[in-house]
Amino acid sequence: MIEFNAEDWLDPDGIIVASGERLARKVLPDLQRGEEVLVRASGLEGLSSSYFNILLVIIRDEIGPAGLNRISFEFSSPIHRAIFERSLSAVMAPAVRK
Amino acid sequence: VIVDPQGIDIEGNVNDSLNSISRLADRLALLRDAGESAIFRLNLSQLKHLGPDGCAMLTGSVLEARIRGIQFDVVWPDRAGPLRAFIEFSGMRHLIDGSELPDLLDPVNVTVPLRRFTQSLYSDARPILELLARFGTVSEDLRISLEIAVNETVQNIVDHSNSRLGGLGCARYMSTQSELRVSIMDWGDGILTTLRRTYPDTINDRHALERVLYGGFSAQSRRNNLGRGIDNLRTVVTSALQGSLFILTGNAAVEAKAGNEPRYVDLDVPFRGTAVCFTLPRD
Repeated sequence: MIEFNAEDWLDPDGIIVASGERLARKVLPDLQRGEEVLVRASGLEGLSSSYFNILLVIIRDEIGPAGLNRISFEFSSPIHRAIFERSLSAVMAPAVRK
Repeated sequence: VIVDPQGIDIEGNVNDSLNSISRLADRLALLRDAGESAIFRLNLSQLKHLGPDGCAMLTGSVLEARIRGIQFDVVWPDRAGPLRAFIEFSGMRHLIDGSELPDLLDPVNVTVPLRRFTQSLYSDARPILELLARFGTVSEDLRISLEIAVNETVQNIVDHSNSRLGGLGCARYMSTQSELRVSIMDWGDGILTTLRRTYPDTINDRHALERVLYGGFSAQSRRNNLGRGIDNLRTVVTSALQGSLFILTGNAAVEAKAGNEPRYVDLDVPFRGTAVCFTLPRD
């Protein structure tokens, strides 16, 4: 299991989506090699869904759904986890509703 | 050639309720269809109270109209007191007539001034948290919920609004009620126009609000859009913190409060853009 601290790849004064993309590019090589990845997301509790959306969409599009099964996240806040899980559900099963 | 300016008088109390803000939007609708040579006299001399929601709507409407070439003569309230202090500390007067912004570190200031934005930054909620911290410890739940609510709203405007002005936001701490009020708005396409690009069967503004409030419908303007933002905003404001919010766009508005079903309102006069206003209890 390879571990990453999401905070290390976050620009505290920068664009949220850019930070999500940065983390995605960091974890992609390990996921592509078939490694299991753990992202520690504590300290980033106020991030919007777009951060997780772009991170998960890049992994899905570059590796496929299997890539999402090899990455796990650790949160210190239930609110933050709930935001993440909504993004994960949306990425795994894009909504087609009327 | 002397052109008589058209008059817009804003009087009395403009508080932070949906009714009050939709009435204000109604009064400002004259600006919406005005030609670029139009001149307006915006008379605020009889205003008694203005909250952050009205402050953002008034200021943004003037700035947006100016981008289209409309000129303004603004008559400010002349009596010293809380209203005039708020107009100064909120940056309203600074943005409209270029007057100097007062010292925001003044202890009487309880406002995070209006700020225009075109990007969603992780630091967007920081000034509001710093304001709250002056009034005691900020709980983790409040901090996280506030950051998420601000970041989701700003991100939505940046991604979807197509607003020439960008977004505009401010906040104010109401010490008597022990609550924080946040207003974030744009003067862009509105949710209906945006959502119809992906969902052409979206019937009207109210239907668009119904769709985004519980998630699953995204305009997919950008790769990071998956239709969760407004749903997350509603959840953290009303469920996590027992706060309240309203969203006004086009001919419709919705008000959501903890423990109640959302209340949808049809408006006679549309607001061209989207206004998101929420209130969070301090404790």
